[in-house]
Amino acid sequence: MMTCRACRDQLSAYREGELADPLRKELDAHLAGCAECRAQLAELEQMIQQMKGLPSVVVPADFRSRVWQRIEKESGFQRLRRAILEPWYLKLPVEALATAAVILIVVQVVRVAGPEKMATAPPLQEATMVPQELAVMNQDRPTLARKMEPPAGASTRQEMKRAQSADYQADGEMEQAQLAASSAAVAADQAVLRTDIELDLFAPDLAQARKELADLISRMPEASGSFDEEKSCYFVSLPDEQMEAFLVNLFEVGSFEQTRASVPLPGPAPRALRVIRIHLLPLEP
Amino acid sequence: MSNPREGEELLSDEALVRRAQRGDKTAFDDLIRRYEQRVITVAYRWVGQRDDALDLAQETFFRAYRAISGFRAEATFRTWLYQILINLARNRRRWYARHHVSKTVSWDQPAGEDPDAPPLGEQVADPAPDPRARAEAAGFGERVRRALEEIPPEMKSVVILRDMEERTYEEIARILKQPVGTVKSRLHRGRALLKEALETEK
Repeated sequence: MMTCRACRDQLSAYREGELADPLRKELDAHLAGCAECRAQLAELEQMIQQMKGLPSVVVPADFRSRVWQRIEKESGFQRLRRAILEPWYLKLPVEALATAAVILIVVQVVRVAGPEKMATAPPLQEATMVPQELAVMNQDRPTLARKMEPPAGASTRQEMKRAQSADYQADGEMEQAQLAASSAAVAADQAVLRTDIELDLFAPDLAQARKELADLISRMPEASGSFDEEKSCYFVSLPDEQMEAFLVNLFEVGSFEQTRASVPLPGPAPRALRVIRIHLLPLEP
Repeated sequence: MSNPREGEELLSDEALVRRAQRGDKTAFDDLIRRYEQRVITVAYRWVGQRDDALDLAQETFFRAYRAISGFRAEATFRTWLYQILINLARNRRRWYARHHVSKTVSWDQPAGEDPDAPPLGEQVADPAPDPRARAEAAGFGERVRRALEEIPPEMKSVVILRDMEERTYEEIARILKQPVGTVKSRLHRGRALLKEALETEK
């Protein structure tokens, strides 16, 4: 004989007609003889009906203009600059800021996990603006003197990378192909490899995040990445001047929480490659 | 949904998205007008407070605009928009801390205020025919809102999308990136918890 407790646990599924026959028949029998459970079912039904007719908030007159204000207010570059510069530049000694060849980036996150996916097809347009000159900052107020224009020859390199990957169908193989293409570059840099920036990437789906990161790396000229299974983190290496473009696009990929950053020593590296270490972490519900 | 612009042909969501991806802001504006009421409503179901809901809705469209180039036609635009909204809603505590959203920023009232309407900002988008029904709905709405706060987010999202928004299981599964079976069991569990919360509150 079915208990009331067991019956009530199934009422919602019963109401939807989702119970398999044996179980449904048990409930039919129980409900026929139990007024309390019948009342519970009626209350459940009433609750569901009431949920359909709830009042809402009417769209305010200025809603759309507010959305556009929010959009216009921040170009991608401005957003990046704000996110990057404001938290940390005050903390650094003036000498470290002097050299144009040094990139000092602390990414302090202002993000929420998002399902936004990166497209593989459209090449990065306005987001991949490559600064011709790097930031020169003083202690009081950062000034960024840069010319922004699309990277020369990028489309060709992107096409080459895509062509390399085109033979591989599965996502995992795609990543392998991309990594194989870039492993030579990474190996060559082992000698000067050190982590300049560390980011914590929170994602509900780590496999998905990995895929999207690999995708982003493959679309950035001269970027290369390798995934360390043991540490569950990505090492991405790319030239100084592309850091910013990379980070702008990273904002569209996922949710980055508070990061650590090591400030590189002043002075140019032999080949100005910087390394970002990205920790992939599960997003708590 | 707000009225279309005069002379506007009714383009599909996909066509508008394609135009928006090419930089056509009017197309994105049309998308906002198509979905603003729905997004605001679901945001309101989640956070239960008018100004928060409007901020959340605004942020949803902002994020959608920023990410539009990455939108693939695998999902529908509507599904994608829901995904953005729900993810923002789930993370909003963290988001609020980072963005320092000012609670004193107020939103305009909708045009044509009805003096008999329910309290500030909470107007019935689809008004019940008689005042008593409307008042009852408003009262229950308040209680459901409070009760929903007690429920874990995975179940809360399913209850909102299914029982309040009347989405199909398949669409909910796509929005939440869960199998349909999981969606169903979360609905049943969520309803049970909601019912319990409503009862203990009486």
